[in-house]
Amino acid sequence: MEVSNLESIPGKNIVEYIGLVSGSTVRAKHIGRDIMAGLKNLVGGELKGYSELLQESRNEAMERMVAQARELGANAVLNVRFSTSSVAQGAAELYVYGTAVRID
Amino acid sequence: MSIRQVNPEEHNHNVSDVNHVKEVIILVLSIFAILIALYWSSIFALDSIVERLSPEREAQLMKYIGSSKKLNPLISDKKEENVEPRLLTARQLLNELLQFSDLKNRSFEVVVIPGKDINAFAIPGDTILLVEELLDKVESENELAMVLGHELGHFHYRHHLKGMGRRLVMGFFSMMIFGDDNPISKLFLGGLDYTDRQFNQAQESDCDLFGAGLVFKKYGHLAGGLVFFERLAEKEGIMEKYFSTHPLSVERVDRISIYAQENNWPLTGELTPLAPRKGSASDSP
Amino acid sequence: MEQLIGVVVFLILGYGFGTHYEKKHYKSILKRERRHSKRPAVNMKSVPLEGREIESSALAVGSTVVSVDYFKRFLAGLKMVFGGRLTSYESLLDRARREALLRMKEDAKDADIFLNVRIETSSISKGQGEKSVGSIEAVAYATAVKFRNKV
Repeated sequence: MEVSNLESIPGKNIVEYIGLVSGSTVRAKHIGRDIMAGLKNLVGGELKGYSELLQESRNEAMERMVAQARELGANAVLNVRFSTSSVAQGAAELYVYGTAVRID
Repeated sequence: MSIRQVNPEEHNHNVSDVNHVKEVIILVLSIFAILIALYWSSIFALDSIVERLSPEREAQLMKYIGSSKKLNPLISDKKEENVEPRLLTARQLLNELLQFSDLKNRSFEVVVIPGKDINAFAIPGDTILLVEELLDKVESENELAMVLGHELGHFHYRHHLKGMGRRLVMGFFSMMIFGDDNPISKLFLGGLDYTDRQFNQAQESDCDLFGAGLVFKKYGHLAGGLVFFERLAEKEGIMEKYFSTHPLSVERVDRISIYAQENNWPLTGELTPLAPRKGSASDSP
Repeated sequence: MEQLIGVVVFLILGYGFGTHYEKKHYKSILKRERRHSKRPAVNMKSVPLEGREIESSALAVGSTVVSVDYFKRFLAGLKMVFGGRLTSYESLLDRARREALLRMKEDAKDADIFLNVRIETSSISKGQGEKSVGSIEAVAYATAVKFRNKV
């Protein structure tokens, strides 16, 4: 399954457009990481705990989108976009969407 | 090249297939278990710290946290006119009882407060409050001695410190874990109240036995001391068993009797009538 | 004690009404998606015309605000202690987005295709305090294109 944020896969032709597919996850880190992040607010720098959280969320959301595309018979997803939003303190929602297509 | 629109699939990838009710139950039980573990370990730690406090350190702490004599509005510095004679008796009796315990180097205040229930309170700052009705209803000096001894027990065991410390610690934990506006934290603190009540019943029982000890040392027997609780027992029902801070009076009588038997303290003897004492409260026998 | 009873009552109410309303909403969403399935929404900026002419194009927007019930909020609050996936909010977001997409399609009733679809979500009204979410707003917007002659 090829995934791209271009309108086409370079060097391939699009045979059929299948439609919008999307994947989303909502995840929270446990309180230990929350407390560490609170402390980090004093000194600044990368919040490793939250970075990891969002990495995992992104991977999972991608997987869901790809699974949905595969189920519809697609073998590529184009024009992929990400969107992150916070749903609660310490919890983030990650949303990926793109157009599922069949390429030759 | 064609464009077709996906037909909505039956299986939704974006929603996990879990049973939410099961999840709630599992989470609540595990959090409960963790909190109980935290609670018991912190109580254990707290109690050992409090018990090791020296009296001077405790006095310093109470000055910061509890109400000191200077701030307590019920106690005035000026000389009281027309002190109720039974109150005088109570004060002298208290001083006499003090001599038999390790609290003898502290000075306590006894104050009467108006009210219609038979009750007495020990409040931080070495003060004992007696409700008017109690003074009306006690029939012998022995009874009064039992009540005063019980209240002294709270100071001896430092119940105030333990209680305050416990509230502080659990409030802190609850804030850390849940935040201060989560309904779960309210649930948790409410549940604490309930367990506190059970624990308070144990504390009250300890005070009963402490008071019994003092009464025996003064009079040589426990007669009259139990009459007080027997009178209270007539009014109690099932609400008191679970929701009151004191154990059921019947149980208190039983526990004191058993304790007395273990120590070979006689349960009968001559009662000293509650006669007004002559002289001022600072007289010692 | 009273607080415990209050919480349990709210939980039961929230669960009961919440699941009922969610099922109803999903049924409505599925029905309307089927109805609109002839008019695809893609996020490509253009599609090959293949002989068709474009008659008109316009911006179509659809949005909705959806909220969770007490039971889901309680479950999410518990989950946040241990971390992991907040499964109770997933359906909230899914419904909000699909509903927004459908409203966008209904906004342009005679369009044949929706190009360059974008979907944005944001959280509205944090609910009691900062730790719980109150509601989510989803906005879907695209260029609705109508063809003159169909192939």
